[in-house]
Amino acid sequence: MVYNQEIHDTIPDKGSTLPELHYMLFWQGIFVVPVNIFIQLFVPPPGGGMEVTMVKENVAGFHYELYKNCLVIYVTQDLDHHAVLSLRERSDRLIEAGDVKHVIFDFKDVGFMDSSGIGLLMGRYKKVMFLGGRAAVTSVGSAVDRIFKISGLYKIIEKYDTPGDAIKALEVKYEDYI
Amino acid sequence: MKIIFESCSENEAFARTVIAAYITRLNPTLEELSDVKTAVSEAVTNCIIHGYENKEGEILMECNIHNNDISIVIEDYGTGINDIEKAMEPLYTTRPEWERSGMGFAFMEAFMDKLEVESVPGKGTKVFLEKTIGISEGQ
Repeated sequence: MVYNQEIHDTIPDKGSTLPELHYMLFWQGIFVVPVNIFIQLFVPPPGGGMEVTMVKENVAGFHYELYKNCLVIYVTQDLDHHAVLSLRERSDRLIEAGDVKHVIFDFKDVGFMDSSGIGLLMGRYKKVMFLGGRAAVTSVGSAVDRIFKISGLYKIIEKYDTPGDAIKALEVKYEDYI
Repeated sequence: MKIIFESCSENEAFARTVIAAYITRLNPTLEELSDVKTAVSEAVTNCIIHGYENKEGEILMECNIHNNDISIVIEDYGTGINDIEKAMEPLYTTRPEWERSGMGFAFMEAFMDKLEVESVPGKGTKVFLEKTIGISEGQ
């Protein structure tokens, strides 16, 4: 490597060789950056399978995960008007903040839902449809299933057994968008 | 049974719990229980959102049991309904901006045996719900 004496003389001596190296490499035409890109492209992340790009966060009433651009919202309370008030605002913020195309609502811990929940799902469906995405529901129990059937929501929102199934199905159908 | 509670959304779950507890003596099936809870939840939510437009007010819930027949009355003293027939039309809502599905009355009708609505604009609204519970064999 060519060692630039002039640059070296202007670097304050902090007792570490790292800043000097940084400056040297910058001026030498940067071979570190291509190496980093190589690692990100070709070395798989630990844990294989799903790459969670956002850490699970627990807030009262629900928690969520983000897989690529699928937002999975695990609802953990009765889905009535009261619950919908906060869930609507929070899920909208998540959809807008992340690079979200598809939204999946998981109902494993939901024992009750009324028409307020239908309104919530319709609203999120319209939102993601606008972005070219889809909405889905998973782990639907029998009580909630009845409500979905009666409301006709299954005509526009798909039901899957698990969030994993939903994500795989959405990837296959809409691979252009993921 | 008669209770009066404040028109805040936290009390929707409370109303569901109360009605479930009260009709438990009839040994309802899970489905019947879910039906009644849902209908009550819809009616109470209507009082809060439409009757009182999310402001303070009182909601009265009354329930009577004769043999296996439940009759529930849910009443508010709020805005009232101008056109009851229109209000009960499925998917019709005066609050699309709040993402109301317009299915409240439709659900009440689907899950109860009888639904009746009385209202005086400016005075309030009364919703009458009836259902016969737990008469199937072998429960």
